[in-house]
Amino acid sequence: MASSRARILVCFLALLLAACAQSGGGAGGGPNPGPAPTRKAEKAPTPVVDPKPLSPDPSPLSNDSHVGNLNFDPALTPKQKGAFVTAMAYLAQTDTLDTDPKLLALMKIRRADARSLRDWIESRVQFILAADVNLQDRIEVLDRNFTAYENPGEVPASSRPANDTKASVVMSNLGVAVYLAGKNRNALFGLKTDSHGVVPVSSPRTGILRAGDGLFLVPAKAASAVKVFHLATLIHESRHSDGHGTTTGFLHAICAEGDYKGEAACDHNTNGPYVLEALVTKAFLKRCGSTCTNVDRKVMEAMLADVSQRQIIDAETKEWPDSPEGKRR
Amino acid sequence: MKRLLFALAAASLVSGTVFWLMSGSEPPAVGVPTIEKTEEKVAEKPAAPAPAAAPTSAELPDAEAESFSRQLEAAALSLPTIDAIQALPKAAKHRPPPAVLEAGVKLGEIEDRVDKNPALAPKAAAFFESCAKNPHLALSVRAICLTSLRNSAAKHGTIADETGISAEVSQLAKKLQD
Repeated sequence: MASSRARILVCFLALLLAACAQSGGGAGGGPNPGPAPTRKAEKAPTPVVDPKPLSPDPSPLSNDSHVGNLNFDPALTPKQKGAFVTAMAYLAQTDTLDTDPKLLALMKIRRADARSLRDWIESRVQFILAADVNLQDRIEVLDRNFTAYENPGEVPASSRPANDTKASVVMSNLGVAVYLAGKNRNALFGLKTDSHGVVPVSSPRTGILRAGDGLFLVPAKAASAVKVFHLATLIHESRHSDGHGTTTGFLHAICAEGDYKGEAACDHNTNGPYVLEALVTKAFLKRCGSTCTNVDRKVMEAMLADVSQRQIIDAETKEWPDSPEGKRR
Repeated sequence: MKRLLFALAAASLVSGTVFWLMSGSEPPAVGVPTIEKTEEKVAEKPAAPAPAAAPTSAELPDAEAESFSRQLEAAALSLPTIDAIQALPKAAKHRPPPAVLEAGVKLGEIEDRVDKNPALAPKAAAFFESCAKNPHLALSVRAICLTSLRNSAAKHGTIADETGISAEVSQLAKKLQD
């Protein structure tokens, strides 16, 4: 039972493998970007510390192609881009959150202020693609015999991906799927971008998200909660860029109980995406106090209730090592 | 089907309360155990928080009561069941589903209405209680119904009868309020 629950799913991996197999077969390879840096047993990274915690974080610069260091794919709709711009602007206006110290420890930040949270996100996400992106057009093989992966042979346990043609994607971390697909095949894949050319996916920290219209299935009546939902989603997806070896991507496990029993929609650790998301959402809910509307508060409660049930707690639950595998280039 | 049963239960509860309010008599036994237990609690615990804003039938216009009943009935119909959550496409289960967030909107709007007219608080509390005890509803929804039930007790002095609420709902609600 425990072992079955502990089975971690590599979301999208098989789909991606199929797509990449097709594109790779006809592409004839590409430029070899050189070996990836090796870092077999790196210690946990030094905590990110903002030396000027009290200085206000300016709203991130944004235009049609980016907000801060998050680069938009041209195929994203203005509405989709707007969701990120609005969420990051909302974050910039946020005072230091009164949060559970556990969140600070897990995120390795000294305080949950706007700048620290923004830096944390931007170190894990660079590119935001549209959900309906055609991967065959966007992913190319840079090296067919790439053997410089860290922790060779160590990947999360995989399972068959869902056949989800009808699902509305809110957001998903494509970068970890591309990275693991390459690692499994000893190949290095690259992402074609308008802003940065072909970017080698040499680490999950390359940071590639997909955003869909699921972003807008959130009730518009909850104006503040919508922004918190988008931020919490960003933090959740950012966490999927962490981990190494068998913890690469902090992939989800099969839920043992609750609304998602039997689904790969839970964390089987103490520091996964849902855990972080719950702590962040709770901090925003706490910040609400008496200033939020009832609707905003209840929607945030709904968000928190949903993700708070998504942690499997048993004898095997522990904190996963979160230092990233590979390096962003 | 389960959603319909919940809606019918909520509707019968609401209509029973409306009848009571209209007739000015004792509340009828409408087959909803929470109502009966609530009455017992009132009898046993006179020192419970005084419902300072609690209504009398004279204070609650019929139109307002009927309108609120319709709002509660519509809300009951919209609350997602566990079956509905599990029927979602797998990728849609990766994030909190829209129906769960929409449930937050419905509950928030009910609280808004009660804030404007505290005379509606007992009916709202009965709705929250019925929701929190409904085993067919999504766990997350039952948990936020329970927090609304508690908030109503604290704010409007309504009775929060938590007997029969499952441990998993209570534990989840605790995570929201800690």
